[in-house]
Order: sequence, then C-alpha cells, then structure tokens
Amino acid sequence: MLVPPFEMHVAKSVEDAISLRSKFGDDASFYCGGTELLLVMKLGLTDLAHLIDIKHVDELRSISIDDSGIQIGAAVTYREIENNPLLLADRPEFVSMISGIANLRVRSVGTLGGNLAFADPSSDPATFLLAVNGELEIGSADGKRRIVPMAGFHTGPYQPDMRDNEMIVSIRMPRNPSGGVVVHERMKLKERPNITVAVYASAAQGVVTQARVAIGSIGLIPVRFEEVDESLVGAELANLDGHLKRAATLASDNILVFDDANGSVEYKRHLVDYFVQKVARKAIETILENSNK
Amino acid sequence: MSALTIVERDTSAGRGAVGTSHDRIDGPIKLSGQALYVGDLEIPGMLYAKVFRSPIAHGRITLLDVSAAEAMEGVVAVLVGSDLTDIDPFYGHAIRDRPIVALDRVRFIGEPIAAVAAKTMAQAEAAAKQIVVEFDELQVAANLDAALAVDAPIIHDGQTAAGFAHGLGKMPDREGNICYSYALNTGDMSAASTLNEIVIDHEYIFPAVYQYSMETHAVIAEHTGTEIRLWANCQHPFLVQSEIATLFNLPISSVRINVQFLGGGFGSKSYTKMEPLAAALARKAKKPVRVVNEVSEAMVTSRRHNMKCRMVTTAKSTGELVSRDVKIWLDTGAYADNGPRVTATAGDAAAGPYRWQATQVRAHCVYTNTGPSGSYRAFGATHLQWVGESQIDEVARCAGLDPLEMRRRNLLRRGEVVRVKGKPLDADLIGDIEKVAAALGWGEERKPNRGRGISVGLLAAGAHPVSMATVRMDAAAGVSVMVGSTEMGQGTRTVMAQIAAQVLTVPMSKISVPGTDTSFTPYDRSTGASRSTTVAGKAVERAALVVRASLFETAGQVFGISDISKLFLENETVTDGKQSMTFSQIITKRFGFAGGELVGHGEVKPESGSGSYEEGPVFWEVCIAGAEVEVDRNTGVVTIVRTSSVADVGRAINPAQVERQDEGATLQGIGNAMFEEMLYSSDGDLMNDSLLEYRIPTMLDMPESMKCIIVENEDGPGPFGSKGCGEGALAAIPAAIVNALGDIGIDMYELPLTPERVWKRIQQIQQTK
Ligand SMILES: Cc1cc2nc3c(=O)[nH]c(=O)nc-3n(C[C@H](O)[C@H](O)[C@H](O)COP(=O)(O)OP(=O)(O)OC[C@H]3O[C@@H](n4cnc5c(N)ncnc54)[C@H](O)[C@@H]3O)c2cc1C
Repeated sequence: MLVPPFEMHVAKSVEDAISLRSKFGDDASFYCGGTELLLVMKLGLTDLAHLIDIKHVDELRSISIDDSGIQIGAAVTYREIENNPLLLADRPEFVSMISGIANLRVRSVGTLGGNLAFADPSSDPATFLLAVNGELEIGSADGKRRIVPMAGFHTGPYQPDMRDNEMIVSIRMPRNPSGGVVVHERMKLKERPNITVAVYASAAQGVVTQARVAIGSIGLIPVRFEEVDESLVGAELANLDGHLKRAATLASDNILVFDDANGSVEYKRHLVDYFVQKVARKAIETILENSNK
Repeated sequence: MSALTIVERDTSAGRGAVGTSHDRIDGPIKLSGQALYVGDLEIPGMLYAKVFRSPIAHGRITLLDVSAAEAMEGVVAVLVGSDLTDIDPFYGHAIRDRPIVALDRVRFIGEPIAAVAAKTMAQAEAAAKQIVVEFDELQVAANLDAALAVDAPIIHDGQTAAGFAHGLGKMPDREGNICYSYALNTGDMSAASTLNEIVIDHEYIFPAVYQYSMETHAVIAEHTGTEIRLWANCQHPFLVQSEIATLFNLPISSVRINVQFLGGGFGSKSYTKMEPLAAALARKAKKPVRVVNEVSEAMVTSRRHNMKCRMVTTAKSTGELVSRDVKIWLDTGAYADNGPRVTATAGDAAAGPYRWQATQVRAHCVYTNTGPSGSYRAFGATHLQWVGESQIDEVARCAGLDPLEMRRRNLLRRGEVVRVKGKPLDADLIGDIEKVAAALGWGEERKPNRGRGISVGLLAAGAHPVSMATVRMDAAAGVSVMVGSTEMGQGTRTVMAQIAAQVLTVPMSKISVPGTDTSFTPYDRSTGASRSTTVAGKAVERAALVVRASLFETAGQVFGISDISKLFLENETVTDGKQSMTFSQIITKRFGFAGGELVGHGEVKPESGSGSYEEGPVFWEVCIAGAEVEVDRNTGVVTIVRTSSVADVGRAINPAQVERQDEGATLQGIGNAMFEEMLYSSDGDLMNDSLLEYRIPTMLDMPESMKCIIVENEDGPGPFGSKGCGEGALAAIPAAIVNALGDIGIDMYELPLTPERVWKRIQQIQQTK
C-alpha cells in the first residue's frame, strides 16, 4: 500500500502549528516522530492531505528542571531523554522506563508528546505518569494554555481528552519527592508491552503512608483504583504480604480486560495480580528500608 | 573515498579453497546496495499491477464488473477469469487444482480474482478499488476440524489432474476434503501390542507459520506473443519455466526466466507462485508488468502447514521401543501447492530413526478455506520430530532412563534401514547426539526452573537428483560457473565457486557465479531440500573436471606425454613435475591465439533406480539439536538459555557458512516453537497479517549461547564427501525446547509455547497433582 500524496507544513511555533491545524481541519494532523502516524497512514487507516511538522518548534523541544518540577517538551525524543544527565540524576526510574521503550530506531525519533496524544492502550509513559501524578500542558487556538492531570487525559483507546485544534505542549511531573519511591515494570511479548505496572509509595516510621498503583498496557487505558491504593496504606514489613494480596486481588477484580490476541481474560487478570504484587512489593520494601535507615 | 570499506577477498590460490571460510562472493554488492532484486528492476515500458483479492473465504462469483476500473486513468488492462478461456488455466506442480485467477468460485480470503495493470502503482491501486464483485457465499471450513466434519463443505468438487511433478505415485481418489494420503506400515502391529508395557498417547497441534523472508514474492512478466520472459524471485526457475510453458502452450525454451538474488526464501518461493498471474496479465496488457506482493498478500500466498497429530508410542518397561501408531492431518489451505510432498515427508519422519517391532502411519493432506500452504524449511520433519521426540522423552521418564541413554539404546545405526526400499542410514546418530548433549553440559547440575532437552531426527534431503552445470575457463584463466542454484542468502554462489576453485586451483577472485538465466544456465531441478551443495555442487565439480581434462589434453600434447595421469594442476598451471605451462599458455596454444575458452559440462542424475521419492533420499539430513530453557512459572514466559546443534555435513566446504545456516535455522526453529502462529478466524480471515501482530524472533530472542558442531566424516554423496545442511537444526530445535520443558515437568502438546499456554499448563499440572 502506498502512502497517498500529502503536503508537509513546518510549524515555527505552537501558535503557528495550531493555526495550521485549524485551517486544514480534519484533513491535517500533527506530525512529530511519525512512528505511529506513518504506520497508520501506510495501513490506509487515514487519508491526510496535510501534515504539520512540529519537530522544529523550540518550545516543544526543551527540558527544564527547577523547583516547580520537571517539564519536558512534547517533541523531545526518547533518545534525548535517555541522554539527559539532569533527568537521569533526578528521575532515574523515569529514564530507565523510557530507555526500555521499543527499540533504538523508534526511540531516536519517537516522542513523549506523540505517545500521549496517540493514546495507544499500551503506553509505558502514560502508566508511569499516572503513578507520579504527572500533568500535561495543552495549548489551544485562543492562545491559552491549560494544565490537565494525566489521570483522566485518556478517556478510551486512541482518545486523548483534547479538542482538534489543541496540542500537547509539555509534560510535567514533580521532581523525585524526598522519601518517595517509584518502581516501573513491563512484560513485553510482542512489539508493545502486554502489561505495564508503575507504583509510587511513600512511608513514615516504617509504615506506608501513600501508594499509587497504575496499571497499563493491558486494558483499554492505563488505570488506578482508589481502593487498591488505599489497601496498601498502613502496610509494614511485618504485614506486607497480606496488604499486597489484597491490593492485587482488588486490582485484578476491578480491571476491565478482554479476550484478544494478547491473551484471555483469565491470563490477563492473573498478570495484573502477579505484577501488582511484584512491583508494589519492590516499591514498598525499598521505601520501608529507606525510611528505617 | 566511499564511506564503505570493502574487505579484500582472500586471493590465495584455489588449492585448499574447500574447507576454508571464504567471505561471501555476493557480500560486497549486497552490502553496498548494488545487488538488484526484482523489485529494483525497471524494464522499459513496464506497468505496475495491483491484485484484486477475494474478501470472502468461500463463495461463487455471481457478478464481476471491472468496467469502472478499466476506465480509470492510466489503466492498460484488467485481467479476469474470462480472459483465460483459450488456455487450460489450472496450475499446481503436485495437483493441478489452482486457476490463475478465480474463475467462478473463490476458496480463501485473498485469492486473486482480478489484476489491474496501470502506468503507476497509485493508478493501479485506485483502479482496483473500483472493481465490483458479488458472491453467493458458501459454508466456510477455515480449519482442519471444520474441513474434516461430516457436514463439511466440499472445497474442490470433481476430480483434479496430477501436476507435472506430482512424483508420489498414482493420484488418489479424493475423499471429502482430503486431497492426498500417505501410508506407511512396518511389522505386525497386533503382534507388537502384546509387548506393550508403556503406552504414550496424545494429540498434538502445530500452528500455521509464515516463512517471513524479508523480500515478498515479486515478478516482472513480458509476453511477446511467441515468448514469455520473467524476472522472478523464484527458488526453482526451471520448474516454473516448464509450468508456465504448459499453461501458455509454449515450448519450454520460449519461456525465459531470469533470477538474480532472493531476499530469502525458506520455501515461500519454491514452485510456482505469482508467475502465472503476472504472465497472464502481461499477455493481456501486451507490455511488461510487475507484480509485487505486500506482506499481507505474501502471507496468503504461501505458509507452513498447520497440523493435528495423534500419536501412540509403546515400549517395554526397560525403555525398549515397541511400536508407533501415527495419524497426521496437514492443513494445505485452499490449494494443494506442495502439500502432498509435505504430507509424505511428515509420514516418513513420523517413526523417527528408531528400531521398531511395528509402525503404522497415516498422513492426510486436507483442503481448507485458508491461504495455501507449501514448502517451508524442513517441512514435515519439523512437525513430526517435535511429536515423536517428545514421546521418546515421555517413554524415557516412564522407564526411568536418561533421555540420552534412551536414545543410545534405540537409535538406528549406520547402514540400518530407515525406510523400506529407501537409502539405509548414512550417518552416526549416536555419535552426533552425544556431541550435542555434551555441548549443552548434559550431566551438569541444572539451576532451578531450568530444563534441558535433546532431539534427533532425519530428513529426506536432496529432492530429485537432477542438476547440470557448465564451467567455462577463458583465455586469462578466469572461470565462470553456470549453475541454476538460486542464491537466496544461503551462500550457494560462494560454495560453487569454492568447488570450482578447488578442482581448478584458480583463486576465488577469478571465479564468477552469475545468476540464473534459463536461456544460458543449464538445468537444475530446484533450490531446496538441502540439495544445492550436494547435487548441483557435484555437477559443478564434474564440469570443472572436464575443463581440467581439456587442460591436460593440450598440455600433454605440448609436453609429449601420453599418460595424463602424470599431470597435475598447481596455481593455475599444469605440470608434470618437470615442465609446466600456465592455463593461459595452454589455451593460447590450443586455439592458436589468445582467445577461445574451455567449456566443461557436468551432470548429476539418479545413480541407481529412478531417483524417485520412494528410492531416495539422496542423503539423510541429520536433524539433531539440544536446548536449555528457563521458565518463569509466574508468567509462563520461557527463555531459551542455550542451544547446540550438529551439522553432520560430511565435509564442510565453507565452515562459517555451515555455522550460519545452523544459527539461522536455530533462530527460525525458536520462532516456530515459541512465537509464530497465523491466527485464522472461523470465517477464514487471517487476523495477524503484519509484523504488528505476527511475532517473529528478533536478535533479542537469541540464546546466550548457540553452539554449532560441525561433523565431517566425508561420508556424503556430494563433492569431497559433502552433504547438505541448513534444515536439520530447524527440524530439531522445537522438539529440543519442548523436551527441555518436559525435563522440568511441563509437557506441552501444542505450539507455539506462548506464555499463556505454558502458564495454563502449569496451572493444570498443579491442579492434577
Ligand atoms: C515498534 C514500536 C514499538 C513500540 N514499543 C513501545 C513500548 O514498548 N512502550 C510504549 O509505551 N510505546 C511503544 N511504542 C509507541 C511509541 O512510544 C510511539 O510510537 C511514539 O512515542 C510516538 O511518538 P511520535 O513522535 O513518533 O508520534 P507521531 O507518530 O508523530 O504522532 C502520533 C500521533 O500523535 C499526534 N501528535 C504528535 N505530537 C503531538 C502533540 N504534541 N500534540 C498533539 N498531538 C500530537 C499526531 O498527530 C499523531 O496522531 C512503540 C512504537 C513502535 C513503532
């Protein structure tokens, strides 16, 4: 299948990109690394007359770390994240999650913005950001910017909560909070992960005070369940097993999964159960050991 | 300076060429992107084709309207079934059951119904979208169970003719959807049954697998009215040539096929595939036309047979094998393709290389409403070695024997009968399997959740032994080797050059091995069945020996020596130890000027009998491998830690290439065992027709260690005592992996070993404990 002919427009700024998008409407799409978009076009699933190249917009290409947190431009590639020493120092677990995505070819051009805007159900970054209370900066046609939490940004597979003439400008997350721990793990059998679990935990005096368990790449969107998070609060090394079991059971009971080529509902629920226990154990044991020191 | 540094080839003298790991002679042009594949070729005036394929799996065509497509810009011709009324439009080398394009009925999703030739690809694609077709849908049998059911739809009614290379005796009458059956009996089953103390009885499922060569099927065809020219990436140019000649009522010599390089084959390009459609479309368009399959189209053009098998192995409590009873059903898809031969090979492999009191094998080739299945590296053998060898391990466990000891006690020895009427065993299997086990650290302690397995089998290799070659030496002592073996990445051109270099003492740098042009290249039956080095290589050796004889003849006259046995070759000279002459001098002397050439022709034909399948094979390819695996019982994920394999090749013409063959075969075997599975819906739709969903092994799936042990007993029928390789490890690896899991108590009866399947099996085993 040949990709039908299209016209490429190179945007100079966020405003420029958005106004081009407004001008061409449904005939156009933003084009960043192209790792998802070109695939979709080659499969003949879309027929776009215009692509708006946003890779050269400076604002989308910056990384900053300051007191207010970490901010990564939507068009920063995975490879640039991997090679950024400041990010590595501050959020090593985030960088290691990024460096496990896809392969070098995809990471050399693929971006965080493209991943989150595409909202593929198998997203490592979306799951990770859910666990660390990440946020997105969205730019609109009226020149306004709004900040939205990662939680709720994906409303369904391939459905980001954005209007057509909006775009992701940056991705934000808090700096590594003192005392908090994040652990991320994935199981990958094909190109994309079959399950991604990211767990944040904090503790005081040897007791878990807060936990956030994000489960992705297995259901329709990455999810967190309040009762799962709560079930881990109060855990200590002595009673950890019971807390983990309860959290895992709640997670695997609550998760919405379907039979498909990636596995049966039974197997998927088992994976949720197993990985929630495994990843939460790692996070909690680490944080409890740290807080005992 | 070019950015690419091409390593200079070793230009040392030819003597000693055999047995050295020469660089690939096609390496530099491939690495530098200069090698042209069919998809790169532009023939003047060439049109581009888009095939319009059936959206349903089974139905009668009630309406086919291509008028809108014909009226589209750039469209030159649209081929439909009614264009074929002047010829017998059915092809198929085994069974002539397949029309060039659908005539009145479609039998699988993706079957060509029409084909558009246009000036650009975009125009062809746009026009194909305008074709209108309507059907009377028929009941679909998209899998073996549905096709074998009592009320199954009959996919081919009426009798079909045998193809030109059926080669398997009388065409049987068709029963239902079974298009071919193969039976093999030895000994007395009922007498044997009185000895049974251990009985292993299971049903097994092997998946449909795609060959996944990087390059898909591609062909450019031109029909001038009196001649058809094809540039194709077919593995067997000469078989395609005669099939096209028959289809279009032309003399064989009026069909000219040019084959340069293949971007992999693995069987997907064996026998005739897209060539008839391309030729028919070019005939209608009166212009050259190029047809290139997309991956999703290639996947419904050729694949490996999925299989259901019921096997019962019995033994005495000591582990002495008694009998084996096997029923095999192979799903050949909507058209037979190479299914009958695959079925016979599977039947042959079923007993395994063991001593039995009695065996009974029934193998059936079954039509279904899915894409046709054909050859796939180590066909039949891979299917049955897995089943048979996992039962051997189960017997060993019941008898309390180590799997290696079990095999020592029961394996056939050199010279014993493998198949009645066929060639006796020509290899030392026990020696080979001991080497493979040792490479795996057989006796050493196993880490938790790690198991080790070995497997052994034989593959009837060589196909029909008919190959010719011509070797030409020019006046500057340059040599061209004209041989019809297709270079598809396996390195055949390098091996052929090494054989000629060895015989003629000419440096490798002076030898060229061009691609095949059926107008100039002598006949070679096919490239497959691990036959090229053994059979075509023998023809090259013989042709080179004829050139040598001409050199001796002239030199003898000059030296005044009548006994040419006193002469020998050394570094491009003929010498009797005292006087010597260079090849160039000899040729100049012979023709009286610095021109002319020496031409030698070599031929290989059956040495005894007819060379038929029954009397074969040319040699038994040894299929022996071992694997160590680790299982994660929480997820069912199996990791292949290490593998070992034996390449029992008689003599390794090029040891590095032998190793690469075994490594490639191992990785492909890992794909078959662990990941690959074409998933068909019940209405016949292939659901994973791209790399997004179809999982092939990648570099990340390579075991930590892959050891290939080359065994050189100089006991092969090929040049310098060689015999072929390239399929053995593939046939052996799935069985070795499954046996490694069996070693830690996880017996698997269905491939591939997806984590879910393994996890469920672990749950099941725990529950029954
Ligand atoms: C082989 C392969 C393996 C992969 N494996 C993984 C994996 O293991 N884990 C994982 O999480 N992901 C995986 N991915 C997904 C990968 O993360 C995404 O393909 C990549 O991040 C997309 O970024 P891009 O810049 O290429 O997006 P593009 O293809 O350029 O764009 C994707 C979509 O987002 C839109 N878009 C892009 N940028 C913006 C923006 N700033 N604002 C609004 N809309 C925008 C585009 O219009 C388009 O619709 C894999 C992908 C491939 C191809």
